[in-house]
Amino acid sequence: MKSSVLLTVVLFLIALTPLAGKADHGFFPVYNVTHLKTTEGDVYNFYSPGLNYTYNSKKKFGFFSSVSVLWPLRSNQNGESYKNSDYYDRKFGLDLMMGAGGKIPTSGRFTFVTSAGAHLNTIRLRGRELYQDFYNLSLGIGLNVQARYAFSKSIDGTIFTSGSWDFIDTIHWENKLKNGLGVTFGLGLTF
Amino acid sequence: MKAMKSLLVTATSILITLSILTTCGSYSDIAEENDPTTPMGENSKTYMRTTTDGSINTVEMVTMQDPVNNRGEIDIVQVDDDTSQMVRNVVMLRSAYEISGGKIILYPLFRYDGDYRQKNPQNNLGATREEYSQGFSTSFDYTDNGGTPPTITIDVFTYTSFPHVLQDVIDLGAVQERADRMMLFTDLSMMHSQIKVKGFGGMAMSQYFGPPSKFKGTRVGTFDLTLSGLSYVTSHFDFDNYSDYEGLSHNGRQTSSTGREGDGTMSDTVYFTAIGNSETVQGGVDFSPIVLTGTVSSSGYYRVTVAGVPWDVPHLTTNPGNPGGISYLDILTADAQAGKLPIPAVQ
Repeated sequence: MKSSVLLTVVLFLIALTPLAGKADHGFFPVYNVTHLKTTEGDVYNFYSPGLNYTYNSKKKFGFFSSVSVLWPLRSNQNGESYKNSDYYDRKFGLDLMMGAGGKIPTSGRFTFVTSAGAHLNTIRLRGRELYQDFYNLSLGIGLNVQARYAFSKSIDGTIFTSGSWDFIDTIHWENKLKNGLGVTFGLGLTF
Repeated sequence: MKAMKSLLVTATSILITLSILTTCGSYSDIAEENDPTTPMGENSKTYMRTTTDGSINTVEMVTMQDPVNNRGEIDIVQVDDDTSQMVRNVVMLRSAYEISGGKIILYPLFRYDGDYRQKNPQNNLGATREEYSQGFSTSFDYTDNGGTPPTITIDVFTYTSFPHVLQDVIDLGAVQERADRMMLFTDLSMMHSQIKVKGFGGMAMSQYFGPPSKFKGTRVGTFDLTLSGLSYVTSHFDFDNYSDYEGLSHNGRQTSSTGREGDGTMSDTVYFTAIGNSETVQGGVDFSPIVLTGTVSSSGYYRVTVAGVPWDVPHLTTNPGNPGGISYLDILTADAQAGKLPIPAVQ
């Protein structure tokens, strides 16, 4: 938990650069569902609240990145549900997307931002004394859609959803990832 | 632009670090135990057989839970030294059993597989565990022969009560041969404990970095595994009254420190208590003088203390032609010829 908070702070500090005025910075409480299917047919689902930072270029079309720090509190394997704190003493997840995005302004206060790029998802559950750790580190592609409502010239209320499809398993040699799907919902402010 | 670069550097660093730290064999199950072994308790019995057949030498240890209504659990460990391939294969099968009508019916629960040979752990999966689906069973002829020493027969193999084997070794007196055999018995326990660690000897072992992971003895006791280090990995096995075999228990620590290619050293001491059917002897194995190459001992010796007397035992080898080491094949062939230890069964 301590390292997760530290990482979140580091990522937020990155936003406070001298170039802050040249980009949009969004901060969101999020809820993520990660679905993994392995080559031997095991199906995992992880349910995680978290915090997200999203970076969008102020230009009409430009760089985009999104980082969600996740706390996988519950999981499900092959239909059986688990409360992760019963078996794991550390629960950490990271959902990262990088790519490019474009803005679709409307005549009113609404703006839509659509972004796509490379996606990384990792979940690490560190087992208590008698239990195995669980790791996932997968790569794929993702899509992020934001709907913003301008409260003022510099603050937007933003709702976003992102989806991802992972197909590269970077750490398993057997019973590898067949495919991974992820959905994240967030509601927050963009500056 | 600076922010973009910072993000890219951060993301890349996270990816590389996580990849290095978390390489593992396959997805573990949610809430998967390190070791599904259910300790059988102090009343469980262990029997041993040895076979030499050409270039393959076999040691098999069978530990049976005290039966209730002719049912219990059984743990079968088979160590095969293939001297032509210079590889030692270790298999452990855990089953429920039922004795009925001169047969023992096994209902396999899970098995461990591991091997000992010179290898680069970066290219190896390490020890594996396979769980059996329910409903599978197999049966063998079974006879409890009784006698002195007590023996049992499963299929065509006869197994001798392990405390009597220990007593034979204790009776050798304060000689080098006794230290050699106590080293081999300690090594049997070490191998048995090591293959319970999914990924042992391979990169998948990296899943145990961090706080200690606990594993259970087949009969009683536990050991904790702790891994630390990045480019040079140190593993500690801390034994606490750990016993896989009747009459033999261990305390203390075995440590190995190796680079990413499996070359390194061993250290620390594992103590043993060997309870024969009429005497007890205590001692320890100091692993400090052992050198590891490709995850297995390649030179040096074990400093084995038996009843307070220290002996130097050459490192273990699967190659009997290696003058620097001792092998199960050498020891057991000599014992069979001398009428000591269980007589090799006909395969």
